Amino acid sequence: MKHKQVEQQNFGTVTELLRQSCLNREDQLLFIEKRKDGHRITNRRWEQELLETVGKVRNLEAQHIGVICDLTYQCILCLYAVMVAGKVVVPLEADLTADSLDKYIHKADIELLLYNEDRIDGTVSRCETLTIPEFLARPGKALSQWPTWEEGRNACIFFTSGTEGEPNGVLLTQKNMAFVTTYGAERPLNRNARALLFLPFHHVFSFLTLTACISDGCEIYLSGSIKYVSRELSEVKPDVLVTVPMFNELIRSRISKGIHNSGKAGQIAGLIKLSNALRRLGLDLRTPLFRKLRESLGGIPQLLITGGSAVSVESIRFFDDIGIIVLQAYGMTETSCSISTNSLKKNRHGSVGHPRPYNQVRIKDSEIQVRGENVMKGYYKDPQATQRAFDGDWFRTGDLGYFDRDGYLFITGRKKNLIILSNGENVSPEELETQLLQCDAIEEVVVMERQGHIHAEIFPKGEEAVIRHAIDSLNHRNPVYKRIVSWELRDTPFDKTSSLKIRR
Amino acid sequence: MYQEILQNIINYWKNIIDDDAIDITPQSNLMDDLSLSSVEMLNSLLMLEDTYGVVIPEKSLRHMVTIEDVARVLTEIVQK
Repeated sequence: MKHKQVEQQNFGTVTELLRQSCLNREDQLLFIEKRKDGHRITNRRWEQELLETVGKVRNLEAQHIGVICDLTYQCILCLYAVMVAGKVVVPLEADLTADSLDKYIHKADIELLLYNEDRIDGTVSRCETLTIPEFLARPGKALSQWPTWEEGRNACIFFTSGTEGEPNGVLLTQKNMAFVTTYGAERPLNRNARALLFLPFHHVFSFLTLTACISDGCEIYLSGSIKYVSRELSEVKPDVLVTVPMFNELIRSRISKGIHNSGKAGQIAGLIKLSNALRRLGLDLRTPLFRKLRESLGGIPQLLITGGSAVSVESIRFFDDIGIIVLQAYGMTETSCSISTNSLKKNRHGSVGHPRPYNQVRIKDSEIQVRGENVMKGYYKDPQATQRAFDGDWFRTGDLGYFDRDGYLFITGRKKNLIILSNGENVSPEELETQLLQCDAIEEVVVMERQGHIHAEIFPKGEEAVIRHAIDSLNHRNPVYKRIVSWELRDTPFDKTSSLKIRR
Repeated sequence: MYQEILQNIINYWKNIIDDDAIDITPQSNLMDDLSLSSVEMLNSLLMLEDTYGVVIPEKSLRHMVTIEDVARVLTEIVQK
């Protein structure tokens, strides 16, 4: 596999980035949809259909357009067409109940919601809706040329779990959405590199990975579903995977099982010892030594770029031993994804690498703070939350950390109260607590993480059966990652601070 | 149909979970009682899809809390 240094480029706006990515690549393959039996789309067709869709978006009165994200080409067309048309796109999670979509529609002033059939649970009544195929079938004239926009123009609102129980809408500009291409670090995403994308696009990490892949001219395989990724890996054989820690664990369990079933566990443990001893002498033979093992595992690439939540050093070492490199990255929606990342040349296990060249990072009162043009404009229509999130022009990440003497950034914990799960999803305990407190049988509740799951500790004022029913019904309404997996009752109220808040 | 699917799911988990101390019943909560990770849940869905030749939509995941929920949702899909 070639790791090519991709030139640093600064496109100014996401519209300009997309325009340039279509130049001189007409016949090159861009998208391959696994869901549709490998339906293939070239750059020429993408440019033509994107500009047609932009024409249709222009004909709409709506300025803020929500798109329920799934891993389909048509959904991707809509997401980018809204931005190229100079309007604001709000990427939203699929499979939510219509009720829970209401608050996003309200918060982001969504006037029209585009969705694929079956990806909303219930009927949305709060704004106009159209299915994506219906919308794309509308008549409309393709733009004859690409529009140009100012860098600071609003382009996107992404939702994140706020820390006060309500989701925050992060407002990103045309420039913010183009930032990902000024990565600077080596990326293997050179032209014709194969990327298999399976993370949902309502997360900025995934959306900007998609943008980087389009910009770099990758062959982008869109996974049929996260369920099928293991299978798709062996068909696609991607050069790189952008993952979350939970997925690395899935691969790791597959590898361990494969080694166990092959009956060669002892032999491989011996090879790892030998290889590690040689590496200490400066001789890295992992590629040839473990080639057979990797081939037998079917399509697992030699490089995993992992973000979303913390990766354990043990997990990174497991992969490293057999020649699979895990680069841990760190970023937030508010900073247009990446703040810092490890690179092939500079990779320190357990750290999140060096800050990207486009932003400055400082530690103030142990908190990681970021300044740079990748930082968001603010939270949409919430000047107070925006004000709280900044210390002067420094964005307060809410993460605690330090730099080691070589300039590697380490994260040690969180200042804000937020549960970050291994699939990268952030869950606000207050949001779940507020929902639980609507049950009459619950006097006080604290939601926390326990062994990777969400756990609730409850001080009751009513029957246990009522509480059980309330939790069950909440679990049926919320997305799976917000499921309250375990709970317990306590006999005494929680300790309180002087302002009568529960001491966590 | 439902009973057969239910039994099939219980057997599947009995094979995977190598711990006699865990009693697997229709009421077992997948993530709490069986301590399943989301990865293991996905793998089990894949097995069920293959066995019954159906596609289980992501949105039905939310309704799968116990083993009996999984059997109920799957029965509905198979009967469609």
